[in-house]
Amino acid sequence: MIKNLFRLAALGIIWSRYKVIIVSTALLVFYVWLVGSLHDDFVAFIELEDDKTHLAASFLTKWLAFLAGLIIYLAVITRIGRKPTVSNGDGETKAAKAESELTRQNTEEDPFADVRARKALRSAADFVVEGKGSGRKKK
Amino acid sequence: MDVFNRLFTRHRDWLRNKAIGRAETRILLAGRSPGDFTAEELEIVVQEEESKLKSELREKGLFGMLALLGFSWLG
Repeated sequence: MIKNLFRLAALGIIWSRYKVIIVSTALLVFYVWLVGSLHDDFVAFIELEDDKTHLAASFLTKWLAFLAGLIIYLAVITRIGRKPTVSNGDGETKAAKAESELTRQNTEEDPFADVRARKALRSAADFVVEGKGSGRKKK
Repeated sequence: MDVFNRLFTRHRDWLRNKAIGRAETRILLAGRSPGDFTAEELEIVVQEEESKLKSELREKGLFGMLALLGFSWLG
């Protein structure tokens, strides 16, 4: 029972987060399969007809179709990674405005603003090694 | 990849905010306010809390994995 619940929860999380990626990958696989099948059929047909004038063109078309599918797939995948932005008409987006406002508030009031901005934090030992003192100047 | 970078950044921000929250609580419980400390002092406190959080998460993840596997390693 619990195991099934865990499974369902995990599947739900994966589906809700990666829905677009899963669907677009499945569509790409189906598209590649479809193009490959059509091409195989065409090759079988021209072998029966014994007329190989369009064989090279068919291979070229197949690989161009694969490439187009891949490009569309990558475009869809990279597009969903971007955050949706809403312009307020002044040229500045709402998201950018909110972010700048937040940064302003952070630097004005938040004593942790520097800590938030840092990629990696330094320990007391790091400060000692760097020769900037132990960081216990004001007590 | 872009997706992994975003996930990593989001996780790092979440961890940093949690650590800052804990550091703030610790400072307040000591009867002081974050404004009394220099940026370096705050960085040291938050760094300590962040490492504690990381080790806690690692521990929890290990126990979670063992629980999901049904503690089969115990026999």
